[in-house]
Amino acid sequence: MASREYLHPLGVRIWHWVHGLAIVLLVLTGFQLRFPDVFKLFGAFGDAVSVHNFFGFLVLFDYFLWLGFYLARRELAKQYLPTREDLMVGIPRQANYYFARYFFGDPPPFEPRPEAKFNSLQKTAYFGIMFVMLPLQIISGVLLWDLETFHPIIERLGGVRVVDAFHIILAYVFAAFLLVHLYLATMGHTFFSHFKAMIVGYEEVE
Amino acid sequence: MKAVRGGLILLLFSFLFTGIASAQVENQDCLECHGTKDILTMSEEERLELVIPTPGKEEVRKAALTLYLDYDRFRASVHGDLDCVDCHTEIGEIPHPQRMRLVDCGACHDKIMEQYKGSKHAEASERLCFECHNPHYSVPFSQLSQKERIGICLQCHEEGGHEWLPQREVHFRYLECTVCHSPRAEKGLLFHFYAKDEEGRKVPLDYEELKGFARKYGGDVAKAIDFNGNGVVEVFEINRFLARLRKGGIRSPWLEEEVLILRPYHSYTDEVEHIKDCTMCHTSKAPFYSRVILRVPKKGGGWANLPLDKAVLAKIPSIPAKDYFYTTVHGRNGVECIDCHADLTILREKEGFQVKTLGTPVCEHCHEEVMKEYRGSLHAKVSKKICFGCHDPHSSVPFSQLDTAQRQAVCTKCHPNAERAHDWLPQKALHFKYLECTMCHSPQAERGIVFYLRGVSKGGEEFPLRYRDIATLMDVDNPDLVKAIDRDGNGFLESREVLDFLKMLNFLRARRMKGVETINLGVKVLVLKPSHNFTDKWTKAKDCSLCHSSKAEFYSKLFLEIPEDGAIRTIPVDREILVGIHPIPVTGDFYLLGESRISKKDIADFFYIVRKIGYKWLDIIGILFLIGGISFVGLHGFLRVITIGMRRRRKEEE
Repeated sequence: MASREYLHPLGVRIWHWVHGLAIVLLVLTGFQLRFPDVFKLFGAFGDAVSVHNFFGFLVLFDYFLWLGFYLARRELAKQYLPTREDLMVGIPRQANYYFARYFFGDPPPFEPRPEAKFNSLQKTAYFGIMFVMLPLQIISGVLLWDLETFHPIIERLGGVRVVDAFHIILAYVFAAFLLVHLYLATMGHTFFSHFKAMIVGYEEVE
Repeated sequence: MKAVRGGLILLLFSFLFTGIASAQVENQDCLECHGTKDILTMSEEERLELVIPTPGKEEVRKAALTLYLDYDRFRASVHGDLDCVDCHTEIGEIPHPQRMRLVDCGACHDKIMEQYKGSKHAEASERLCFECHNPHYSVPFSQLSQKERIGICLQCHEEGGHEWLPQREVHFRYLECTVCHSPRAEKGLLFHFYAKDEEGRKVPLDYEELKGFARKYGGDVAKAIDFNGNGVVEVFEINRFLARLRKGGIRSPWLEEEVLILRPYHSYTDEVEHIKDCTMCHTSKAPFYSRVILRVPKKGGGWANLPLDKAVLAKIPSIPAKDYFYTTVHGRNGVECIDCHADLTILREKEGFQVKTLGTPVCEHCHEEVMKEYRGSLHAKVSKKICFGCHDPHSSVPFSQLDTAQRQAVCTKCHPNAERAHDWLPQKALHFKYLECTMCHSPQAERGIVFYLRGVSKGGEEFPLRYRDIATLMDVDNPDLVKAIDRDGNGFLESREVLDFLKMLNFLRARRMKGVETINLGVKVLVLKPSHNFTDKWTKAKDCSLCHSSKAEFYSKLFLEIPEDGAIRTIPVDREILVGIHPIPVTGDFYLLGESRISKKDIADFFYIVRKIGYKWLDIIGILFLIGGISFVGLHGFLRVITIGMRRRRKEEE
């Protein structure tokens, strides 16, 4: 029967929305920086750079908060590190659910619990995002923020263009991920249940 | 003799004393002195005694006129009805003054005087009327034979000259000087009956010989010929009469033509633009073709002039005519008839002439390169054809203006069934529709692709746009289209320039050319510079890839035809126009040769473009990511929505 699980503590919820807002604004300002004469959402180019830098550092800051929070709770590996079973069984099962069984009304193969919030697909995706892509994006972002200071490092990495290329490609991946993330958020028990959970902390589960 | 002279003097003396009033001066009075040849043998002193001396007055020119007048001859002349004093108006009484003013011919012949006064002849020669025409013995002009007419000029001008003139003798035999040298004279084409005598010489038929065929018409030959009496001699009437002559024993009767001046114009040469212009006569527009006349001998001498139906010219080949020569490529480039024909001595096969066989075609004088090339070719060796076996030098259109069909026609004159030998050729009909023979059969020719501006009507009909069409479309009187297309003025059309121009035309077309569906580019594959070496060695290979490959020669020669006022300009075009995929279908029906095939260079080009796009690939790939994300969301969401019912039913069942 339906029960309520306290999935998202207050700190996590605040972090999520602050981080989300920052990412959205980084994507939007990023588009303006990339297509300066097509999108002019944030006024002049220079203004867009300032906004972009501000939210970039906000993400740098919140990334360490997030890391510290989970390290302190010793939940990092449990929540985010995909196991062998996740990769071999969980992901295909979850994909099968999303792409086929879901449409027939089959129950989801996984229900979130406070000690295991993410299904195998989520776990793997978030692992890639939080431990590979976001750090890379933060590092490349910081390098591009002050080319003069970081010149020796940039040089070693193959030049500004290479660093910039990484940053841009990753930005597109983030933008695409954001779309899919928002969509999948509608796939809870009801259309808004995941959204609601991320606001109030409780999620209805079977 | 002495007695006569004495009598004359006595007579004059008696005039001196008695005097004769002007009104009473009769021809007979003049003839007293001028009617006898004695006046020619008298000394000046003796003659002076007969007139009133006018010391200090200068003698006027007399030319061939003498003081003696053959009165009978004068009476028969065209002026025979006039009295002496009608012209010699200064004489009011006898004896008359020794020296008098010139007779003023203009008093009657005012129009002629007007023509003559401004003429070159008057300026250069200062000749007076009577220095060419003897007023006392003039025969009506129309009665003068061609020889007599020439004789007028020959009084001063030497016979001969005219070395440049082809068929010099023929021209001299048939024409009078003024046919050419008086361009404004009214000319007529006259036909006479001729036949052959026992020795085979051609002779004119006179009244005596013809009267037997006009017995039914009271000896009126004219009426016998024009038997339907409508005043015009028609072809069937001529044919019938010639047949009757043949039946009646006349040997090979025919009509011989003669060009004569019908009404002279006394201004010689000053109106002639180029006197050596043969097309002044040798064209069906020549002035004498508007006056075609049959001359029939009349009973008792003279001629009856009957208008002749012009259709007779088609039956009886008369003057060789070359119409429109000056619109042809030779004419327009200043080639005159004599440049090629000066060494011809014989032209016409009729009348016992033979056409001279030319050893070296005169074409070679100018077309040296072409001849050199052609002479060594298989075509020359096998066919032995020379230039005009294929090309008509008198009606040649510039090669660049010939369309495919016209170019094919040059070959198919002798190779009428060329298509049969091409069964091996894939898409035979297409090849024959679009290509000239020499695209394949003249390996050394220069080939190219030529685009032209073309409209497509709502019914799908295609038509090339002319200069006027575009001017109307642009609503400009005399637009400089080259400038309008080649915006950067570098003499080379980038594909964008062409596309922008088409876009502009289509924009205007939508407003101003209702019947036209679209304006785009038509395209032709053409030989740009022919080579006259037509061997079949190369074609034996039947190698399609010579054209159907992106390396084919003509891809390096792409042009756009831009119509100008009365001409066409061709400007090189970027090859990219064929290969690129553009919003305006440039050549919808032009999928041809090698342009869409991948060559090594294309692969190199591909990598070049990949590098050229450079770091913008990031955005291209990134946008593909976004599209991937949106597609997932869109597709999944769509399936989710259409399966809502299914899920609801299942939930209710549970």
